[in-house]
Amino acid sequence: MSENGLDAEKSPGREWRALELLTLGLQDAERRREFLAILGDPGLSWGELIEQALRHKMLPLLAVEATAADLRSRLPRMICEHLTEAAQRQVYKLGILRREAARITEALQARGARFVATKGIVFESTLYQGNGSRHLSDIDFMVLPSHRHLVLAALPELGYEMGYYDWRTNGLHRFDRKELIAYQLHDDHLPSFTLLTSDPVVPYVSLDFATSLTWARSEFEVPIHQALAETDDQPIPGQDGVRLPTFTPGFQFLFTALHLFREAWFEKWLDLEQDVNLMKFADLLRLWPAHREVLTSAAFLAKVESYNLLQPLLWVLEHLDRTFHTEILTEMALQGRSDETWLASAGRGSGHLRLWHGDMRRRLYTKDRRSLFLEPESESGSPT
Amino acid sequence: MNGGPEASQRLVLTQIREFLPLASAEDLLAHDLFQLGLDSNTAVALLLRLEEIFDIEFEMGEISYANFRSAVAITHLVEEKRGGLSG
Repeated sequence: MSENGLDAEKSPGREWRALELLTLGLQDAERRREFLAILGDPGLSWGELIEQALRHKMLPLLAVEATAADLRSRLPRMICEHLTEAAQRQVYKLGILRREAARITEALQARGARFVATKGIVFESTLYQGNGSRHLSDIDFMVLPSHRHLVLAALPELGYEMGYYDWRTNGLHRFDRKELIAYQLHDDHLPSFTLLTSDPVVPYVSLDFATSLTWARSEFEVPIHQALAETDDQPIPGQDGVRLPTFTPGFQFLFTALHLFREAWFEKWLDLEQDVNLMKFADLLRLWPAHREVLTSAAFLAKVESYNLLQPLLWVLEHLDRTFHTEILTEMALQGRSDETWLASAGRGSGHLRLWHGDMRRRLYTKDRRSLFLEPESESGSPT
Repeated sequence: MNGGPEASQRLVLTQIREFLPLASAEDLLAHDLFQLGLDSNTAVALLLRLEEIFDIEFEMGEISYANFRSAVAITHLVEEKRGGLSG
């Protein structure tokens, strides 16, 4: 039976449930038992499981958990072998990324830049045990817009060039003028920088420097000078003597939620296959218990209101609560404030809103995400 | 190309309307172009079109949201570039 004329994807099975359990984390004994039972089920479709894991940037997490000592014997031998190699590769890659994060941190601190590291390079050791289970494709930072020039001066001295790695040529694609113009006009990020490593397993390291917690000209913004006024830091495993600057917990949580909102909100990410994924929710689900006291404080909630961030935060956390059966909004005393139309909304590049079908769980497991979006209406209200 | 600022503004508006066909000249003069619907791709295309039409090249340092957010700002920049070329 199709819904609204769309072919409904079949309900997700045990494969999806395994990924949901990984998203929630397996520290809970009951969840771990359920995960073990699923992976030991001879009816499990490894093709479906691995495909969805790849789509959601969860292959490292699956690989690490599935090849744990108490589970290995349940896996088909070749599956176990390849997952083990995937986990080992991620650990190896992590070593290189940590080394580079340390070099960049030292270089920027020497120039007096005001910046923090964000996302995967921060979370891999604090939320994911530093065991390679957190997928990282690049190293993310955020810098004061007024310190962009310090970054642009420092990176070439470390061997980085403006551009991205081109798998077709095994070389660097340097941005052409048109691409650089796009960065100038939408200045929420510096152009990407890439280092070619000559390493056969990790041929490049890519850097992403943001200058906004949301996006250029967003109606939702956090004053970055306030977000970077006070920062924390954390050790970088294997890199003694260098500590990685990070957001304080409140801004860390806000940025992580806003980043999820941004990538779930804009239609363009659908085409780039960068729409919302399980890994983004996994980060939030781990940040929450780690910083619950701060995040339920009156000071934090006052900050959310003063920055006009309640609506995007409700969008993210309501979807998170409903999908993973958590009660974060209740703990924050924000329950019951979400508007259903808002929850079903997404933004088009032109500034108009679109609506999408179903709930977040369906959106996450659906492979053809575009099929969930309703046709846009013209300003007159009639379909275009 | 001959003509002063008024001619430049008319031509700038004509080019902008290629990318924002639903906006009136009054809208374009009064509002932020990105709020009227100019996005990443169309903004770049507009800039390149302006360079071609006016036979100028914007320096990277001149390309910013502030300089391209309005028809007035764009016209001002174009006139500066044209004034510089004619010495």
